[in-house]
Amino acid sequence: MRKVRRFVSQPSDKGNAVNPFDPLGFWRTTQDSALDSWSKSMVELVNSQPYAEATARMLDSYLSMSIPVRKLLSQTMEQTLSQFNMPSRTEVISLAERLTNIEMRLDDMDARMDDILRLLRSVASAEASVAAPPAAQPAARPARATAAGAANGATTSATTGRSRRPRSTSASAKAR
Amino acid sequence: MADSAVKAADAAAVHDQLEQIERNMSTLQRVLTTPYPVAQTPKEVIWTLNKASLYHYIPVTPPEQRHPIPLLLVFALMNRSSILDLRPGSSFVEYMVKLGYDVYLLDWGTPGLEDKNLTFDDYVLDYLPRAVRKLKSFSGASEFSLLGWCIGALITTMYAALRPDDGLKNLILLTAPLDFTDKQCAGFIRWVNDQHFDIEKILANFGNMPGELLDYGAKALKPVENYITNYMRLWENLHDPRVVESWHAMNTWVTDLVPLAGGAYRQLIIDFYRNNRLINGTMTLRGERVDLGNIRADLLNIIATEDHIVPPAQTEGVMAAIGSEDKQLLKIPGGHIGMMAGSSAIKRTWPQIDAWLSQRSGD
Repeated sequence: MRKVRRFVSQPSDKGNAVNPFDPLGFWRTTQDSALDSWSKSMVELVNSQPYAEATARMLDSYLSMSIPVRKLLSQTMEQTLSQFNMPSRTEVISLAERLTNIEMRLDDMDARMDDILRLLRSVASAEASVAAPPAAQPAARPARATAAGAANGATTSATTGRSRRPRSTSASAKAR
Repeated sequence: MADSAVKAADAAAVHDQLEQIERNMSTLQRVLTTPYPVAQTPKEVIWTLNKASLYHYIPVTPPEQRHPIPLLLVFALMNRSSILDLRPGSSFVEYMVKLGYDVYLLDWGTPGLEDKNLTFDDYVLDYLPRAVRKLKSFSGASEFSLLGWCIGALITTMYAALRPDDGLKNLILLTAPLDFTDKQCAGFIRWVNDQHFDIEKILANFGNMPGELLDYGAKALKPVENYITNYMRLWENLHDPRVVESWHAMNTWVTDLVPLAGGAYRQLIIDFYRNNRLINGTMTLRGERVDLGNIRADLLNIIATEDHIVPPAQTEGVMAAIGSEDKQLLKIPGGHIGMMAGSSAIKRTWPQIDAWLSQRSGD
């Protein structure tokens, strides 16, 4: 019965004798004592110059063989796609690069818009303080993000955060 | 009579064991074939650019208990940033949010072939400053703290040196690969310095450095641990849900591979690993020289003493070159990932980060 009990992983397994039914049992008992030294010798091996050279050579031969094949495949595919009036991978990549550039410009515009809105708000607030008697001035400072989102179980959402207003006017750092 | 009672008990035990076997096999299948739901701390996307996203974690403490200076986390370009938010109860992000930090995370995303020419110039001078700009605009804070881990630490270090007036108050580096003076200190630096390691041929073939090759490189540094002991540990602990869940989450993260943009990989190998440009003072990004002496932010440089990916030698020597007046080197027992995501991180590493940062977060 004890043999059967040790067939499966359970707390009583630890420290017990060999379980002939455990497929890893024999492996474990024979290797446990030597595992540390084995690990150390492997670390020494992979840190050696001959290993570095052997790995680099293997990678190099693999790449030398695969580059011409890839080139051929790529050319064939491009010709085929062209015949079907379909965009090639190169063209799609070029388009994606252009989109990223446009995205960067939009990001700059977004930041400038933030700056302008902040300035407008500070001007409006200054005008209001001049026009209104001191006692009537509202407490204009907006609250920061609260724990309400967490309480509601908020998860990832694709908001831009523009609904929250920044507290200071000093965030005008240029990206570049 | 006694005999039949013993037989009945044995039969019941056999039945129990068979059920346990079934449960274990089911557990094994589950953890090896399904992803763990990592990164569960509630968050919102506040900015995106190309594949990069800036997350803001929803605060859980009352405003008066929060630290006024926000904290931006930057992980490596390879692997997912979800290691910082691995699972509830074992998440650095969750830990810091509960302590009242306003936490942001810059996730680099997965580069496609259209990003193969992205370099550190782009990450340091385009992506990170734009994310910082958004963070400052969103939080309303004029100062912020940065925490960079691994290649993320390399990026944040160069950013701190090139943009010292951006409002960076505190800089925390975790296992930062900065100093490559010692060419024999680890396997990886030996491999990439070999004359047969042809970086141009790799990139001509793949465009970006494939995640699989990067993963092999990291795992081959400790082959027995990564390819054998790791799975033996799971097998031996299949009965223990705590170990299984932890293993499952870590395995999900480890197997979620991300390629590294070709241009950045070329720079990493040639400029850093081979020519050690950062320490030699010859590193330039878009014509600007990266001078570590320009860093003025308070610095906490954390080293994992048993790190085989970024050995301590690649981090320790940089302290003298950094210009900050308030700088501290902290050595923590553990490996490259285990130091921040292992079971002891919550008792050892995270409290030390909080202790250092809370004094410098404007309270």
